[in-house]
Amino acid sequence: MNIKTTLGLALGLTALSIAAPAGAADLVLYDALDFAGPVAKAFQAKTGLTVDVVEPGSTGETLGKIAAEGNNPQFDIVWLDGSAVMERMAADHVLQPVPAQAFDKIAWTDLGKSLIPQSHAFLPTGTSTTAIEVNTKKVKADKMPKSWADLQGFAGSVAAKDPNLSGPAYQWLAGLFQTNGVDAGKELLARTLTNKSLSGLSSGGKVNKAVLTGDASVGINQDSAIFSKIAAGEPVVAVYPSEGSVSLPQGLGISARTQHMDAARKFIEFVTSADGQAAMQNGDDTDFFYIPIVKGVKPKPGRATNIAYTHLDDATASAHETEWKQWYKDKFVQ
Amino acid sequence: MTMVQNRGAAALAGGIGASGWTRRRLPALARLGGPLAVYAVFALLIGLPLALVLLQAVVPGLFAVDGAQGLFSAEPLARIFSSPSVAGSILHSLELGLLAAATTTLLGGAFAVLVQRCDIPLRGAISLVPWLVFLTPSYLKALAWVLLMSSGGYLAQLSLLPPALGASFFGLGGLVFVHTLSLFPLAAFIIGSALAGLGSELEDAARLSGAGPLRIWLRVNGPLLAPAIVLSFIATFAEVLSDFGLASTIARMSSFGVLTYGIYAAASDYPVDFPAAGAQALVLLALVLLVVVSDRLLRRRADPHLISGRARPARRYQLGAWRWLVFAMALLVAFLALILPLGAIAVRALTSTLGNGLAPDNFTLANLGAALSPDTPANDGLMRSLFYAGLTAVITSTLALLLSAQLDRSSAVLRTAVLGLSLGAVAIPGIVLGFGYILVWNRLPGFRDWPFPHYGDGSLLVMGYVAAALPYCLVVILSAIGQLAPSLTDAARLSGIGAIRRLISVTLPLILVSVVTAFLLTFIRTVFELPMSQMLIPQSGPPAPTLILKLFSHDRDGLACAIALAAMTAAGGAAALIWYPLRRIIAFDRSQPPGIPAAPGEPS
Amino acid sequence: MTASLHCTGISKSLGGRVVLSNLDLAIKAGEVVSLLGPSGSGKTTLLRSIAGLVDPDRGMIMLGDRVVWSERSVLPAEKRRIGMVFQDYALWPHMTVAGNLSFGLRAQRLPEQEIAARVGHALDVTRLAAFRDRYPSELSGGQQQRVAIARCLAARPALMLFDEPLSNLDAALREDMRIEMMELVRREAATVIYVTHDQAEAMAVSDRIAVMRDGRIAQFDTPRAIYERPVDSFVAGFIGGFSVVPGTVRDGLFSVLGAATDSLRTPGAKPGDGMLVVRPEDARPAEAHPGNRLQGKVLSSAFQGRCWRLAVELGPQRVRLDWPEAPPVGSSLAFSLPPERCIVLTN
Repeated sequence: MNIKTTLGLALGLTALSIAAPAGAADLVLYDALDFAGPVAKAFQAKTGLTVDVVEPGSTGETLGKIAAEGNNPQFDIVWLDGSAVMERMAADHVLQPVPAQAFDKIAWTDLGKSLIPQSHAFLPTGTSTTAIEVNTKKVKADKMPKSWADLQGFAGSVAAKDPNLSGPAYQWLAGLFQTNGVDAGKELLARTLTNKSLSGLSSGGKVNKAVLTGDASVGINQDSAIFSKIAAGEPVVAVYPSEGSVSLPQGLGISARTQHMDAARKFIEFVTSADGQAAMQNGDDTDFFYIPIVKGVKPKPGRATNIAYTHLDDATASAHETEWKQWYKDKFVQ
Repeated sequence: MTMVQNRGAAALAGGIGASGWTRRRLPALARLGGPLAVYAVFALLIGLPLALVLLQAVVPGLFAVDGAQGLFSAEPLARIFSSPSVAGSILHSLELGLLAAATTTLLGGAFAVLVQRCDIPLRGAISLVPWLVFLTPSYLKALAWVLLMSSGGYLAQLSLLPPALGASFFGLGGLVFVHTLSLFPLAAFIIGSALAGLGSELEDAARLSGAGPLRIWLRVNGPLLAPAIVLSFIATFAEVLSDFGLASTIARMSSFGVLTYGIYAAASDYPVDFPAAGAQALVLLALVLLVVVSDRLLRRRADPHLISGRARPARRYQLGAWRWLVFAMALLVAFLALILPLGAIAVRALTSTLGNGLAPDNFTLANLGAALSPDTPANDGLMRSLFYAGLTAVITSTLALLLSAQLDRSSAVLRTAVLGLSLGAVAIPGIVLGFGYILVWNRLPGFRDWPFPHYGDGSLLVMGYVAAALPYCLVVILSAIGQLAPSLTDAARLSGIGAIRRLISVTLPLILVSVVTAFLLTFIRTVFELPMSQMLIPQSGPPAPTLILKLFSHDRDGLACAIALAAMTAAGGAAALIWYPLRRIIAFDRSQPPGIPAAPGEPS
Repeated sequence: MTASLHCTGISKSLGGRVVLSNLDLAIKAGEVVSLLGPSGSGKTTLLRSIAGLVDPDRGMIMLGDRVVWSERSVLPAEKRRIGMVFQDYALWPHMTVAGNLSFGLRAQRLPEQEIAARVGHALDVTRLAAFRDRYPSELSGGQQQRVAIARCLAARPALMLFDEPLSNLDAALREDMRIEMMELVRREAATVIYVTHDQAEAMAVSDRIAVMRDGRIAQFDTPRAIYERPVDSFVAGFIGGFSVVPGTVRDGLFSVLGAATDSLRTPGAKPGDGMLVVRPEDARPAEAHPGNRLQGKVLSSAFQGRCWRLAVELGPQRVRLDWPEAPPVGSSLAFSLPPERCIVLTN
């Protein structure tokens, strides 16, 4: 009996210790971005409000967690790459529209204004685009590709993400079909992505690895990721295609069931203030190299902003999503 | 020594006679209470969460955002099976799974025999190799082999890689190779724990009949270990089926699509296509159950009981001149499975950029410095993970022990069912179980308001870890318990010993090696358990795996490798701290009988 | 503290097969009863039912005046105070001999002195005192068996069950162990149920024997009564050495079926078809009982120390006889059977 009771006591105590909430925070933030941690710390330092930063690891897992939580979301704010997903969350009533006053208070650049969704599903805080990552050791300066069409010259040596596994990859695909036309785009890809071991990578990290180890000479990747690598000293450059790049906004969304609307508003204010934007650049990882969309904020040094942007037609993109994803899978993945 | 057939024990189920059921009320319920409670916990831990996801394959509207609809629909399943590539995917998954399971079981079994029964030099050090290999998480191993075998990777930079080998590595062959080296510890543990109870009487009888060592192993010891061998085959088969990371990294060839692709594609977007994920998971479950049932049907002979009141300790083989060859082979396996990949990881941790490879000016200590400095989020996460892992290991091994003891007394059908479902759970990628947990504890009306465990707490994370680790503990402990002669516990019953006391004083000491193995196994794998950590991340702070994965997915390999190495050292160190004191208690010297020498007073 | 045992109406089926069929058994306190029968006769199942390791389908089991099993209530095995010596001894390999003996006693929460006294007494009585700190794997088979018995004795159970305890010992040891075991048992005046398939063993140890066949008790009687008056041909055939010869009785004379031999006088035998029981030691020289003379051909002979056991052919039948010498194989042998020893069974 003694063994049992002591064991029981021990287990009970441990249970209590892990169950006790660590002093409930003022805000719960789900995100898949690198700067959320530093921003939360800076926010706490400035306003005294605590933020629980919950980062499952990558965008896919964060989306999965939110999807599983369904109509009983446990977060107050979500901060992610990608407009389409947040629009869908709003349509499912997982997110509530961001109050109009929040938008009005901010001095948007033109780029920023173009990214504001009509439904106010999210508030854009920055953006990035898709670019061509070129391994400078494998590709000489005079042979650089300058457009999507130029990629045909690198057929068999192009690394690309699978749109079935990556939201931004799908947006790139939809953007390509928008700028180059659907049939021409399909033909272009068919002639370019001839190496199936490189055309269905599951993450941007894998694209980086393929380009850096020399398995591929060029890759199609998020430009912030490329700039982060350049800053780390890796032998790559980012090339923007002449046809134009689709922009991939990062957005802040507010949960439909949040009890902390006040704190959420304060957070939004902080993020779009000079202090917040500075915190968003306080690091070396991919997302720190975002393109600012608030007037008066400069990007991190080395980060190009003179880019020809394409505005993605979300309606067409969602309408054809299943069809185009299936086409890509059948042609280039399996 | 006599082998008391399990058939007898299975038949004498200790249960209630069929016709007497209706006439018994409370006394019978009280006697059923224990077993029912154990099965209920199992159902709650694994059954219910999985069921909620799998159910959506046939009831797609179950967790619809705008209100649940309970209509049956065959649409998700039809969608899966109408895709032209699904038959190919199923065949590929089967092919890969069966092949890798066979090679893994072979290597693991050979290793277990090597370490326990042969007198090779450095036996102690070599016996650590499976543990160290197991300590390395699979995402790290995938990275290591990519770093080594890419056309611009480390081996190529050292001019050690023939181009043909490099190209052909990234296909089915390379994938089987990496799976085998990565999973053989599991097979070694399962077979080793059964081997520990195998005394030498039957072998001696065979020697006197004129059989040489090879024949003895093929015809006597082999068949006696058959239950453990089959179990490790099925377990590794399930593991390989559930993998996506290795397959997507190493077998990027298009012709080798696997079933898990569909699940990850369904889970990578919002909204998550739960019906599709559930349908694919159902197929994976069916494949494992198929293998389990065919094994049951093919191997109708009862499992032999080897640990009885009359076993003699096993003897070790003197290999003579062969020991050097065997030693060399063991070293080769250690090199390929452990030293080469860890070396690649260490090199990556010590270099700052990937593109500049092994150039001398690329080496730096910055990553290691960042990883080892205290007070970083990574170190907090590591501390948390170690604590959770310890707690999980205690709970899981206890639960597995109780469940195994209960199952051993039950019918063979129930045993097969529970084992089949547990291994089926292994075959389903962890992320599905993670979803199931969120659905149960955040959406399901009866459960979501429970204070303990609670979604968003460390309590539910530990529960999730327990669920993820339970199948492995079950497999290891069940195969050991199955070897105990039932007369040992019968004798204890007739001596007036109650059920719990029997478990602690009679069963546990005789299978202590396997319980400790299960404990350490759970501890180590939980430190790196990824999908559960991601889905059930507590609001009080993230465990280590999510932090490491975040670095990997943002391609900060160098720092991630450094942190992972630090985590592995910490986890390995903690495991060793637990193991070495216990080693004193366990009579490892083979001249002692298997089991612990009891202290003069029994625990009271 | 010995108790009587009453089993009434015990039935048990396993996997569709009837193992025990409406069986009744009544054993007096202090009695040694053997359950004897071939494999599959249900004796081990009955033993395990009494122990509480398996539950019957129907019936009632009473130990002394307690009901330990009925269709309405069950006393679990842990509480029945029944001791059992298993076929594989079931000694806990991780405990010393003393540990094995004291384990159950500690569970009953006896005071330490009492435990020490009982363990010491049991070890002395089984002559194992020198081995008390050894482990089972360090003992020989005979010693292990003694430990198993000592464990049973130390617990002072109301009923002791022996499940073929001698079957794993070599022949030379078996008889010695059997004598020793029964001496211990008798000294403690325990009630014992002894399961075996060896009829000589059962005969030697028991006060009464229950011969079992297909889940029923064919005959429950003292060894002598079974030997002298087997109730049917199965029992007769099971008692080793007996030969059972079919034939017909008419007018008090038994003629062997298919053999061209003289008839035998079998007083008291019912007319009609029957089976003659021939005990090997009943064979007499042909002159001793001229009215009951038989002649057959010697098939084989085996030396048994005191005499030869011959297999003799009587037409299509075969009998076993004890004979002072061994006639050559194939020779003709004339012998006689005392009429009062000739029993004819009707089934």
